[in-house]
Amino acid sequence: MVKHRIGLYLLSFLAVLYLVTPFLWVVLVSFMEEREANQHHWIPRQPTFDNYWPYLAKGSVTDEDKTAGDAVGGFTARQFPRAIINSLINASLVMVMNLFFGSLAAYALARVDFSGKFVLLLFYLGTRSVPGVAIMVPMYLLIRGYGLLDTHLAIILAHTTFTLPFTIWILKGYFQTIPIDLERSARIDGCTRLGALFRVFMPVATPGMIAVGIFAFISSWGEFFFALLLTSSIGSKPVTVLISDFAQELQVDFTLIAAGGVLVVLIPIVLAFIFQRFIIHGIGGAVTG
Amino acid sequence: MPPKLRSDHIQQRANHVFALVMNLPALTLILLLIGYPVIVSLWTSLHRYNLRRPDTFDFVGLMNYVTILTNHDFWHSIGVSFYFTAVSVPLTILIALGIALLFNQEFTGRGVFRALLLIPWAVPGVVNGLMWMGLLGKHGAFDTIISNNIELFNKLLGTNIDYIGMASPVVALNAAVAAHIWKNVPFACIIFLAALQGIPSEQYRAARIDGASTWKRFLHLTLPWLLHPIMIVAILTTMNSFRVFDLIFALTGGGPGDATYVIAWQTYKEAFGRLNFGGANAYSYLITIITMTLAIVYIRLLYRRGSVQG
Repeated sequence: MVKHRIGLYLLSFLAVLYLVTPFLWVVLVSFMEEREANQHHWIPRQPTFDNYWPYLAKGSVTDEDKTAGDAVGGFTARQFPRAIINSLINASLVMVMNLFFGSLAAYALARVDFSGKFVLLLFYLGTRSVPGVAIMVPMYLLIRGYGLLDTHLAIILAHTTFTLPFTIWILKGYFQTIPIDLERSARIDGCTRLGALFRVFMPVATPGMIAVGIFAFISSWGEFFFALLLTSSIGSKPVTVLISDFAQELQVDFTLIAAGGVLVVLIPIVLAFIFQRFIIHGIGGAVTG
Repeated sequence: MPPKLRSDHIQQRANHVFALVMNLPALTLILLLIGYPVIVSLWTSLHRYNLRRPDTFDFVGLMNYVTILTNHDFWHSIGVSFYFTAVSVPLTILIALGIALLFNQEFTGRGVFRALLLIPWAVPGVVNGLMWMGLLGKHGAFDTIISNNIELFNKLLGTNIDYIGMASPVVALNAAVAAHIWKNVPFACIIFLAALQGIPSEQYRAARIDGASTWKRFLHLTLPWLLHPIMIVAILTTMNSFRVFDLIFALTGGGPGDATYVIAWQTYKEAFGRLNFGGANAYSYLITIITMTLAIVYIRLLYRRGSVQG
């Protein structure tokens, strides 16, 4: 039995090593000077916070105030706080829209019998299999046609559309695990259908809603393709696009990019840690349920 | 079912209206931003349309498709994408399954382990690409480890393998695969963990009383319960692998040469590199057809098992 325990811990430790090491390296490098990073050892001998200062310097909100005094990559770094705010706005609204639209659709799919339900489910599943790159040109022209290029709304619409099918699918699964007697008794007590939905059902469904909400938030935060396609100025550029701008600039120190990477990942990781239980039970349970 | 307050006929009609109204917002958005572009994409793919000559929009029938299907670039990127998918999907499932079986055991500190599991999932694809570029690029940590080991390997066996890191097509493509697997393992793991928790513990107790070995218990008890979740993970990771873009953008940019030109990257280049919108839409359509076909094959397999409820 003891042998079994030791083996279990050893294997689990190896698994965690696999999951954590690559990103841990980025964190460690972000506290090194470029010269030290080039010697490829892992623990910073003289930990420095220098790679983070450029990001926290006085923010830049336009693309015009680039100065000659900026170090390599410094200008992009100064735009960072603004990009974080952009991503926060996008991801939060994508989350809200997913929860609202998604729960309405999923509720009907989970609770009401109607012909065409199966077709509708397959349709949602099918739209999820359309790759973003397959519709980029018409999507771009459509967004441009409405004058929405380079706006928050463009990103929010695109991300919401692409996350909704998954949200609906998961929520439907989750809703089906909730006993129907709840609404039935509310209806008998004279509640309307929508009244029963919002006052009795939704409070019970909260854990599932949190799970898909966080999922939609993190999906939008990390999405790159549509963000790249639909934004061009710092007024709407999210962090994923900004951090990839570094890669385009020549001779930016990798340590500076590493610090940026850590900052980009900070919010989604904190959210994932806080809501770990909800994510594992909510998403996993609904898929397999 | 809501209480039977009205006659069945009226009730049924009310159900239809209710379901439609509830689905309307989501449907409108999806039809407008996915459905409509899919149709426009088909229409454009039948025309000669290059942004260098934006006034020309001639109907050419299937000419764009013929051009693509007879072109080396297309078959090359299909090959790269199939390799990418064929390697990353089974490995993702195997690694995730292993980790899920471990983290499903009860031990102190399990919660922390499970929280750490979510790290790769929270890392955006672009950051993932930049990260592996750092790890495997010149002077990166993994790069040093690998080249040191190759030197040792050469010395011991007297071979003469020259490790050139990401400049080698084989290394670059497999680095992209490794990075993709790393990011996709947590999601698969979440699903497997939930599935494992759904297995009734009485069955395990019964199997243990019957004297079934650990391996037998896994094969005859655990695995059958996992078939359905494995299929779902296979569907989702296949789709993810086939449309991978951000990782390639940040990690290799399609290079070295065209070694990592996955189909999504090829399409992107066709549209925004060569501005050939007609051709790019034909590419788009071919990708959609391939992923849809794969999805249908999977879904059929799933339904044959009779385990998906409508």
